[in-house]
Amino acid sequence: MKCENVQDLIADSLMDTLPAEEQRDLDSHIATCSVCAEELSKLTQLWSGLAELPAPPVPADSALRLGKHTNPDRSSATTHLKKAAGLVGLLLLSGGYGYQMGVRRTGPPANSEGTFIMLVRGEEQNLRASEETLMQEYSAWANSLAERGLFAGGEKLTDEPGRWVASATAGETRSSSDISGYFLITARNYDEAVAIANESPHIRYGGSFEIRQIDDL
Amino acid sequence: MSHRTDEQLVVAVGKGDKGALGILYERHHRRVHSLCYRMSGDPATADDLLQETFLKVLRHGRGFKSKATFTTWLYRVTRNVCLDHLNAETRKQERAAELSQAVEIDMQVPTANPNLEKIREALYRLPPDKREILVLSRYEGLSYKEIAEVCSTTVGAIKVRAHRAIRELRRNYEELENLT
Repeated sequence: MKCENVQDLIADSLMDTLPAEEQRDLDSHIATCSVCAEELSKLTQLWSGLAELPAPPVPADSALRLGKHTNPDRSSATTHLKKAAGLVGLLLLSGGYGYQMGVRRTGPPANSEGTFIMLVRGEEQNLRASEETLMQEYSAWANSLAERGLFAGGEKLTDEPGRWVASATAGETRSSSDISGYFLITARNYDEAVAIANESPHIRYGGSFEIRQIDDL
Repeated sequence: MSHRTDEQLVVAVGKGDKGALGILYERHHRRVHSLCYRMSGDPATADDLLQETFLKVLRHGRGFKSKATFTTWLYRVTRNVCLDHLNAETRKQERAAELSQAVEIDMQVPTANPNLEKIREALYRLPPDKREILVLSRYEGLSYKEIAEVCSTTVGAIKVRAHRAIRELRRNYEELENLT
């Protein structure tokens, strides 16, 4: 056995993955090689030390908090909109309203209703409210819409540039606009869609939507 | 007490059963929290990552394949959540470094043992892809084969990464010893 291979074998041994036969060879080598015996001693000390590193207990009040992050400073790059859209989706998934994220509601809308898309244009970071306030109010808004059968989905788009596809560009990497997400709602007309939008915390705290009706041909 | 298996529960979660998710949370949140802490090194971040993980379980429960064990799948989801977070943190620190701003990293739960502090520092100096091998092996007791399943790669690749991780851990530790 060559000494330069011993460190890897010790690693396998520490991780309990060294076959018995190779373990015996390693033991035999260690017994006769003081350099490798020293290496084994150091790695074993490190490995044992790792096991002694304390881990904090789970907080006693830890409970499932779907879609709610209480410490915005520590959250990842997730935006308010992503959390809001995620929360909305979760409410719809878990609340038995018969909707799914990004999917129009099952069954046709009433004759007098149409589906409207509310486009969000990348300004959610500028909303004038704390993340916690926004999440609470988005939750209330989403619940209210879902209970009235007005919500048909919502998603945040990814932050990476999109693909621009045309006959001459064949998938060039760039964003076609600053759209960062959308909500789908059901309303009788534009006036009602605008009224629904105006109920949202997004508008209340300084954001804006572009609303377009989906052509239900 | 539910008599349903984890696999039955996650299938139910995939169909929107929030109660099933609650049972899975009760069964597994300690394990997930521990892994999140070992990967992030910060208790408050671990709390956030724990919630993010179960959010993913709810949103992606339909992606669970019945031939996999739930635990392996949950480790995979947790691992991906942790890596996403660590990668975002790395980008944030790189941007801060470009602006010559100091970025403090909270490393909580101090020990009274200086030697253990060095071992911890040596562990958190590892890049996430190496740290995760040691964490999954040392704290979760996973074999190379199980780690490969969690990381969606081959046993051979994990073995090579494990060897490199041990070498780098040892090197980090020695550098820290030489500083004192």
